[in-house]
Amino acid sequence: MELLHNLVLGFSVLLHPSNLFACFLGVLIGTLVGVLPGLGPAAAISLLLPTTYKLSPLTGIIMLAGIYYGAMYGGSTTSILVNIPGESASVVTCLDGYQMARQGRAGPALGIAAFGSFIAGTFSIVALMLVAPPLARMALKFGPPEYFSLMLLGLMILSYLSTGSMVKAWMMAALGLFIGTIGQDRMVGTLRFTYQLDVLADGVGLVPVVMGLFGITEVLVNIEQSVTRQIFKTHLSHLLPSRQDWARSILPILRGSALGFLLGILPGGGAIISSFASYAVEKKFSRTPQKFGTGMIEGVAGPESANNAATGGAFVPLLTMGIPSNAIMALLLGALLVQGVKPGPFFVKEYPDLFWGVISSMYVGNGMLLVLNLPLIGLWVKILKLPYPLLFPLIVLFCLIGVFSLNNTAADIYVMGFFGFLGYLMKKFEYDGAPLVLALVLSPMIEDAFRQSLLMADGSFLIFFSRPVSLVLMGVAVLIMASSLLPWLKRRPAEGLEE
Amino acid sequence: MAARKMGNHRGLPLQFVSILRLIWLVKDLRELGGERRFLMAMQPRFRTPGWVFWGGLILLALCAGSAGATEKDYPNKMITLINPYAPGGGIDFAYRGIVDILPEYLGQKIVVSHKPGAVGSIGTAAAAKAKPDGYTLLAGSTSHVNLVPATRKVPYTPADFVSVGTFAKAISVLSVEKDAPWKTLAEFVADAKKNPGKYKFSTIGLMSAHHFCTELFMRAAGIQMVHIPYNSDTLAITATLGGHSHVCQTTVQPTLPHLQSGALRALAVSDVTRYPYLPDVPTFKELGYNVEMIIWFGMLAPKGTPKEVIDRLYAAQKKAFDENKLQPIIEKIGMIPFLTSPQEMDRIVQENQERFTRIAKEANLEVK
Repeated sequence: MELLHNLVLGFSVLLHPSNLFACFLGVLIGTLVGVLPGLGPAAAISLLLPTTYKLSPLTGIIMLAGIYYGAMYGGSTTSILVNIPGESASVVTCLDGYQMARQGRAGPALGIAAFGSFIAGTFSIVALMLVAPPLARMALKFGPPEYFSLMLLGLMILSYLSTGSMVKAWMMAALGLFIGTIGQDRMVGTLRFTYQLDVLADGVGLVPVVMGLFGITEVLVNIEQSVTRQIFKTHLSHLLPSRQDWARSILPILRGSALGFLLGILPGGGAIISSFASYAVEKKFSRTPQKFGTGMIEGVAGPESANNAATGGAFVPLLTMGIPSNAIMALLLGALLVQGVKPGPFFVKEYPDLFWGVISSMYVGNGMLLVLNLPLIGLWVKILKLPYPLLFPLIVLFCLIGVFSLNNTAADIYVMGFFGFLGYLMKKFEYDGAPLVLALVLSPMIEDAFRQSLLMADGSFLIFFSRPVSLVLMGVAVLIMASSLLPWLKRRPAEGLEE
Repeated sequence: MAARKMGNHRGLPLQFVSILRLIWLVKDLRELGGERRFLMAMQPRFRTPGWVFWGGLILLALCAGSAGATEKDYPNKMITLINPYAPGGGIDFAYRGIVDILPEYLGQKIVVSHKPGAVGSIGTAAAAKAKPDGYTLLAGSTSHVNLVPATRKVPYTPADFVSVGTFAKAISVLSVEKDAPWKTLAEFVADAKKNPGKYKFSTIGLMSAHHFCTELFMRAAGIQMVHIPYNSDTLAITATLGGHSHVCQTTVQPTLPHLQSGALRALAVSDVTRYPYLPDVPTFKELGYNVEMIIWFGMLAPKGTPKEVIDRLYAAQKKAFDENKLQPIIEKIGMIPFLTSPQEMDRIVQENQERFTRIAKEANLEVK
């Protein structure tokens, strides 16, 4: 069969010591970068880009790709251990993963994250091989109206992210939408809400907000409580997921893989949205949705699989059409161009050894990551045994370094500090931070897609309903909103009667 | 093993308590050994007087000075090149050759310092205010040096800089989807004249060089199109490929693969001469429209930098060009090697500034 022949070609090209070493180096660096909060794969890839010029194109791409999906593996580590997302895509893992760690189940959480990532990564590679070209062409048909409807659907997911009152979740979402508008308008260029401060002209960055809202807030809340109780249960159960954990997680992993891959293909889509979507899907399919947020393993398995599958999906537009779907793919594209390789619609035909070599390397890389991460679980878990008064200055230090390393400006630190205190207040009054983050991520995309759609339609709102894909997505969004409002509506008459 | 309440410390700022406790804790752990006693060991054994702590901190801060630079025998230490965008952007790629190859001719390393923010204006403002000794340069390009001051209020103008000389240029190409009914620009203009406002064009973004180029073209041809800004070249290209906009005006290098594969058709390029990789595509000027736009790349130094320094930098650049070291890298990225002298580059920057300011006012493209 032609597919097997191509795979054999790929592996034969891969099995040179230099390529294997590049793969290992890439995933190692990627894991480290993922674990460190703030430093993202984009920064690491752009720093290491010059070193790839001396290597052959295949070796270079293998290493850079390894950094990318390695970072998705590592990002879950700090999310689970100390509630700081190492990667923006790991924000959702904080919700249940950290709670699992507090209950002494950090080992299973880390384990299921690693295994789920491996399964999802493998799935996305297989899918990449099999269905990439037709899916990529379909992705082209996604224009601004479809994006808008999809993002609107994403906003509806909010109702599934909160553990408490829905009204409060929506309030936080509104705040997130607002914060996303700060900065220079991308359509007309007006400066909004910047108060003449230059640093705000580019907007409020996602990473400082997330690190403040999740990392610093958690530290503040825990300092207050550490005098009365232990933060982490010192008795740790097994280091690896039990059979029961596996039984609960296998379906979320599969669902997350499929969802993540599909969402990863869309240019501009990506790992963050897929992880949020997977969390919502798991909550919807669960028999005990109210327990989400207290340490449900499905809430870790699904999102972690989704964000790894999304990295595989992100390669699809690049390798099949030469279109990068996010900033990191753009870097890879640039690296290829400098080597004289021109990715485009005929990439597979013109450079078969490159294409199949990269695909084979992704298999091997995923395997390497699993082997790397599993033994490390024991090590990571030991960190939790540190007394909290010793641990939290380290956490704060890592947050500061991570945030400063983004832009070398102190303004990001102020933002992180502000959101740290805001998050503390939010915790006291029982407001959730996750809807804020999701809304912040979606806000620029929704707004841009909305205005681009209206420009396309000369101002007519019908465009969202006249195109089939957009109509379907809108319909689903309305259904989701209705289904989440229904219990609330049903309750009202009863309360009225009681009064 | 009762836990001690935090905050029972006098004479010491509260926030440093935990750091000191860390030190004591480690000391005690070594002495006592074993986990069971660590909570007891959290009691403070002594208090550091406040003035010792603060005095030490101030001393430490004072030590963080830096050595000054001399102007003799430029360059005699590392040169910092300020990149006003985040790592991985177009400027990074464009300056790859300069950063890797020029140090051989200068004898000193060039280090890139990223200062992103405010659409490139934070880094550019920092470069304008830097010491004019030639050790801090700006990685300059049309967007942050010409376009941003033409459309926004920023604390600098191109007049605050002295040019070293360009080394590369990129040009803009107007393309349509392969199934579009127009084979030449003339056909498109005729159609657009009959339907003002019907056709949509996508570009990398509002107030980018490409947007300005299209504005120039629309005025020269007397047509009206609706602008749909996207956030990157590739998104603009994808939109045209998917049929969501009729025309795109984008940098030539990301568009090239699609042009060569036939998915897109180029109608015109924005330079004064034809693009070497697209020999069949005419320029706007050839077709009779007075539209000319290049995106230049060249280093800039703060005003007041000595002429000897600028000459030295330009000489190094010229030698690299003479020995054909820079051209291969520039061409690989899809740009055109374009060496100009400092005076010539000053002229280009000046002309661009006047042109863009005029267009910004006419098309009402200023940021309020």
